[in-house]
Amino acid sequence: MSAHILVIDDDPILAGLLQLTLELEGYDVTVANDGAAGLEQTKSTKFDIILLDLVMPKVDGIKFLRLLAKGGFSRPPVMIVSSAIEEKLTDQHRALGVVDIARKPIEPAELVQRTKRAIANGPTSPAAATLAEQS
Amino acid sequence: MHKRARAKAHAGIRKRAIRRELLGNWLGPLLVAVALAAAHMLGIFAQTDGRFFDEVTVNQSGIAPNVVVIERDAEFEALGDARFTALNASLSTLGAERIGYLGADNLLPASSEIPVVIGVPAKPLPANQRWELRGDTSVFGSARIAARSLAPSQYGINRTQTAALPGRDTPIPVFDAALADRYPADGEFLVPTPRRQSIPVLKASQLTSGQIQAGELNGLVAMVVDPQALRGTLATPLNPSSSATSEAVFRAHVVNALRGGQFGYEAHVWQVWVLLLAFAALLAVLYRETDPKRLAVLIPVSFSLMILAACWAVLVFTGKLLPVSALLLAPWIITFQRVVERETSQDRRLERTASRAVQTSFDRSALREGARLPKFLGSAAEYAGVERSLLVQLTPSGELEAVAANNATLDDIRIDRKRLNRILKDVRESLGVRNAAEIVPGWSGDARIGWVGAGDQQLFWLHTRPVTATPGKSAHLVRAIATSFRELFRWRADLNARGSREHRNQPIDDRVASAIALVANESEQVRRGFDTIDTAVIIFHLIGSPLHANEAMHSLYEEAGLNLFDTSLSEALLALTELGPNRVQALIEDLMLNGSEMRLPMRNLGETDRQSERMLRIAAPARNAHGANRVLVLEAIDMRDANRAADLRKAVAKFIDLQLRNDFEAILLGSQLACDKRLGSDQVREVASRISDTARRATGRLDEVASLVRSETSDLTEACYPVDATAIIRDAIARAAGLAEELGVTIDADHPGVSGFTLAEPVALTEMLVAMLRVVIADTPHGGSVKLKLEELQGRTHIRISGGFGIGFDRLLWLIANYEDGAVGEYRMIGEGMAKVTSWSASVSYWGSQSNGFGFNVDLRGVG
Repeated sequence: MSAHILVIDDDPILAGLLQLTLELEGYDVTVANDGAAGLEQTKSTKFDIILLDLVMPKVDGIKFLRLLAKGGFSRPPVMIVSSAIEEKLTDQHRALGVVDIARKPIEPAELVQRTKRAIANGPTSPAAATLAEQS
Repeated sequence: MHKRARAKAHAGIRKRAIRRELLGNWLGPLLVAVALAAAHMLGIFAQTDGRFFDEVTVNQSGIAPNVVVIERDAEFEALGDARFTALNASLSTLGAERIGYLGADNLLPASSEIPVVIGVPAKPLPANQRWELRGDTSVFGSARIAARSLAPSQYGINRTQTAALPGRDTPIPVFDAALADRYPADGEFLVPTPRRQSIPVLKASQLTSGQIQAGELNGLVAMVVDPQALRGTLATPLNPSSSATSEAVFRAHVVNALRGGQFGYEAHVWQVWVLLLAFAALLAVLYRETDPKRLAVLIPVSFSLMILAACWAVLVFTGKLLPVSALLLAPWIITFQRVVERETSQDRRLERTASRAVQTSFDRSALREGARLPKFLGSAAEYAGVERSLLVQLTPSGELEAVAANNATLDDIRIDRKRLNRILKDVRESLGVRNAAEIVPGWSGDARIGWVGAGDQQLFWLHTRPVTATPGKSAHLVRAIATSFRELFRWRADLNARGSREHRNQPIDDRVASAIALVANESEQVRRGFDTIDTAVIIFHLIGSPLHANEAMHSLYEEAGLNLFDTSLSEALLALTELGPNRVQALIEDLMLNGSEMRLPMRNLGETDRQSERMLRIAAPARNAHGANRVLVLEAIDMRDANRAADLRKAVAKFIDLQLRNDFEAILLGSQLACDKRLGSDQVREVASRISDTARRATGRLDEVASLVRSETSDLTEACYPVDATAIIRDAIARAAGLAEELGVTIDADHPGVSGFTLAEPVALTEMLVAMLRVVIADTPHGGSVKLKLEELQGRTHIRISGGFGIGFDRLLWLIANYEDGAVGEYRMIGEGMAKVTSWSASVSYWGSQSNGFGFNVDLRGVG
């Protein structure tokens, strides 16, 4: 069974191209155009990884992460793919379930590679999840 | 070499100072003294000095008489040949010391018990300064023969007498001296004639008949005179205006003075010189230490009184007549000389100063080129709407010359020459403006002529009245131009045309007045110009005292709590910067020594200065660094615009960076996919279409901000650009937090953690949001909360501020709509902000009802 990926990005062109790229690699990809739609998806579907943009209308990436952490439903690993962030993973990120950060633009092959690795590594540790709840 | 030149210059300065000291302070007074002494020697003051002597001595009290005048009366003359022997015997019995016969008589006895003096006339020897007695004097036996002569009168008044005349071999005693038996060392002496001096006169027959008791004339000398000698024939101090004093009485005064030691002398020549020179030196010293002009009356008056008192005392107590007239004149003439000298030197100094001031003004103004002034007039008139303008000059030969013309020529003047000359004369004399239709009949509109010349320059301005939409204002402007031109020209003529005879003779006061007027006028204009500069500037003197500050600096000083007039440069720097005293001192030292320029961040001056980011620039222009007139300039440069432009460009750069990263990601993915053989041709087409969409979108975004990137900084002051709305919200909350805390109100903020881009001008948006927050907070009860929500929707950013007890919508509408008229503080800022947001494709709405709260919705355009 192939891994299921949720792509959350408000840019429909980019989201579509990401979806196609990942689908060609054999993944099952669902696209949500903002954080609110993404949250709805996580409630009904179990994902192996979420590729998340940060700057989005309605519910932005950071808010999405907080709501996801507090939501109590399934918590897949999150890989941030955004132009508005440095590629430096901190404890705070980890606490929110972030396993990798890719700064746009990123080579498609590298993106696929890092997605594969993130899926293989699985979600964040329970300790990190607790830290996220406390925050 | 440099040292030698400097030493030479110093020597020159020293020499000039010594020369000025000698010429100005000493030579003048000494020359006056010499002139007065010479005048005294020439007898110019003899009459006035004599009058002084008369006034003093006539009013003196007399002394006990030393002489008795005995008249040879008719009864005595009838006594026969032995009458003189009898008289001598009587006088001897009465105790007389000596008998003097004024005039010889053959019957005089050859011998007598008491000494006898006989006064006989003397005659000058021919071609000689010497004298001899008339007639044969050997017949008088043992009697002493003396000359019956009087010293020449002084301007008709007899007040001197001589003791002896130079004789052929030996001096011939004069009768009075011989009778008194006193011979003053100086040949000529002054005879005091006190009015109260008693001169007893007896008849000879009284003596011979024994009417006078023995011993009555003890210690006296007797002067026997004939009745003729008792007739008034001399003008003396006793009766200066008529010849009412007799020879006998005058001689009796002489004898009395000699015997009583009351006679006087005139001061010797050397004494006159020493006295006058010493007095002149004293005045010179006095005026060297004081201002002669200020004491021009006090010193001469007080010195005159002192001189009078001193001369009186010397005359009364020592009998010496000082050169009182010359001494009295000296303080007045020397004072006059010193005042003239001072005025002349002051005039020279004033002229030099005025010339320098004027030169400076000329160098920096249009006045430098006087010949170009008429051209300035022409252009100024054109700006004022004058259609035709002709500046003409009347040459000394009476010809008319066109100096500057605009749409006019000399040929336009069509009037009889005599009539024209008369009009020009009237115009010049009245300094007014009059109708010139008859001079230039061809000109349409209202033609005028006015005089704008000065001195030798006969300049007349012919022009039409301005035709503009506001003729009143234009006419006023034309009048102002003409007046200003005339003044400039007059000042220039007064100050710059030294060559002409007229100006050489012009009083310095006029020239200085012109210079002052010119400099003051220019200074006022410079000051006004200076005040229009936004940048706050203050100029300090070399010593650190403030010289001039513009309005903006006045406000800045007020803001900083400094006093403009007594704050030194170092104090100003300590107050306006974060620097300590040592650094300030080092900084000023460096500036003064090297004349450089420095920039320092300015201290934040408090709440009102929040939006003002200022930089202090302190400079001592290097070109002035070694001059005596060096200045230090302190300038507070407002960096807001520059910082705002920098913020804008930074935001635009960030926007481009983030947006392009997104677009490049899409392009990278698309390119990769397009090359992927696993995709079918339809899918490849779809991917290619997305790539081109992305490229177009990127280009559109670049176009959107291109104008901001390329614009001049000055055009960006109020430009809107992509900003981080969350950061603005956070700033606004932070600025309103103080009031919220004070009123016990909480601000519930709801905003994204990461924000996209919103199009706005951040300063104006922040100000408006802060004002909105403050009015809602102010209306919220203690313990209540104000809600602020930032929501980024697709293509829009929505900010909602709400809370408060509630304001009726009508009231709210009035407060915001009338912000320009009456509303103050926050509502005015909200109104101003609302007026601005429309240019950002944004809108503001508000709502409110009594007791149900009120709020504002700000809807902005999102751009990514």
